Amino acid sequence: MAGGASLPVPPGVPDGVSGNAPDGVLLREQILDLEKRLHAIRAGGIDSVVLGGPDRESVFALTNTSRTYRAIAENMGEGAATVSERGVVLYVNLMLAAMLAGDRRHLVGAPVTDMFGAADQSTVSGLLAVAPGATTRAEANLRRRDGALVPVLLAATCLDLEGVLVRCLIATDLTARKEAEDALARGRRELERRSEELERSNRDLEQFAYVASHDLQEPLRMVSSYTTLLAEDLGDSLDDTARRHLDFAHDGAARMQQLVSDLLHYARVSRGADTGRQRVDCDQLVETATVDLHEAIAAAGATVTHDPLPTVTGMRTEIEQLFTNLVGNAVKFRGEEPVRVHVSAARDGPMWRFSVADNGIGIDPAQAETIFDVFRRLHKPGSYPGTGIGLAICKKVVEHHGGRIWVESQPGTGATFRFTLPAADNDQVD
Amino acid sequence: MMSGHSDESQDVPDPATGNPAVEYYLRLYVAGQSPNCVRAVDNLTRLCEEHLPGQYRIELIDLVENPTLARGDEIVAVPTLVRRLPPPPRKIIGDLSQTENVLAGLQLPEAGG
Repeated sequence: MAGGASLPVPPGVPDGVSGNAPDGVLLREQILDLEKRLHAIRAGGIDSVVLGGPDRESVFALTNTSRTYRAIAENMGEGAATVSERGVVLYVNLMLAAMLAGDRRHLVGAPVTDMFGAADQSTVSGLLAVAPGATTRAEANLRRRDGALVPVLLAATCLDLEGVLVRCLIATDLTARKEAEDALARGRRELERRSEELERSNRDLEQFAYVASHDLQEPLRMVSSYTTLLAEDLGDSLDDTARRHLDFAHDGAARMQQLVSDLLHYARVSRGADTGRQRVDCDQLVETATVDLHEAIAAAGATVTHDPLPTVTGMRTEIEQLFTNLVGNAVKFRGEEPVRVHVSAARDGPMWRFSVADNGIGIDPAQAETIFDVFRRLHKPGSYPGTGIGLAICKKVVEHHGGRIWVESQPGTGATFRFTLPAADNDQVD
Repeated sequence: MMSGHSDESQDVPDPATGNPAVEYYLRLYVAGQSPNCVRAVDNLTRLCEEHLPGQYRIELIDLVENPTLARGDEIVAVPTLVRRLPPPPRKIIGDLSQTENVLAGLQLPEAGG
């Protein structure tokens, strides 16, 4: 545009001197006329002026017709700026000045790149290369006068003002969001760290239990064997006291062998992970468990019954152990009544919930949690046989399958053990 | 820390703002982002970069924000460029697109340096 660097001449003013009046008089009238117009403009009596151009008339508003939009831009909660084609800041709203902790008088007229740190210069340049009608967005850091960085989301648009391109920049403060994200990430890392720590210590413990129980078996076998040999060798030469002491030693070794064997058993559950998962028919497993427990069941005069049981997904040997232990427990802890044990199952989402109910001595609800701990016995050794590891193994098996186990009981009214196992994939929901 | 807008007589750059003393102190009056004002900003920036590198400071004054600022330099139209330094003050009205006229108006040398 070839706009001249001169004040536009109002219409009606002749180029040169003409007419009948003397030159000086005409000139003075014209100057007076111009001064009147100028005065009217300055006095605020005019809103717009109409000027004739080479091609068409143009209207120039003298009062600011866009004041409402300006007020909105001034007071909005996001930073806003307009930037010339050469990257000079033309306007900064109150919010952006506040975000930059700067004086608008110094922000306006300065290069827009002054608002950003060295690392964001190319981002901002790229953002401002936006074409008319398009919008570009990027994250960057505003650099305040004190050097502090303020993370912002920038959105740039390009306006075409009658051939002049102006870029509008909107800056949304991301400080609060970044802080929340950082706090969340920190929390997550801490959680992961603790979880890893727990897993490691758990693995270490299992490894220790496995190695310890495995390595203890051999020396124990020696103790047991040689106390037996000793008793045979000495034979009749032992007096009653010595024989009793030798029996104690032998019994102790035997009990310890049982403990070690159970512990090894416990440690083996879930070792080697999930390689053996398969479809397991629980009907068949309960039948097998009943056969395995045949002697104990017969001795107790117990009746073991079960509903039709579903197929689950899991490790066959572990689940068999689970049923054997629970049914065995029910038979073992019997009361006055003839023992009746009943196994049933109900669908619970993606799991099957099994119940093993008995009419035995029951369990104090206060002990409902602790009975699943390793070597936890509620009764004195001798009153009921066993090492107290059976339920701990049950818990480990169930948890290894992603389920949970609990007991519902009152002393004297029997106990119902419940646990969940994952249903086989193509199982029909009843 | 900064001098207020009312302190229009201050032509010497404020040491508190960190702006170094310059030979040419130019003040460009605009009103919002009208086409001629935006063009004047870019024309002046380009002209100074080419002809007065390192010797100038431009102050951009938007009269939409504070119309009373027009009084100090007796501005009647925008855009108007005012040379505050070196004295005496000189004014040029328009979008500053005619480089030779601007250079002549500011009494600047034709070539850089």
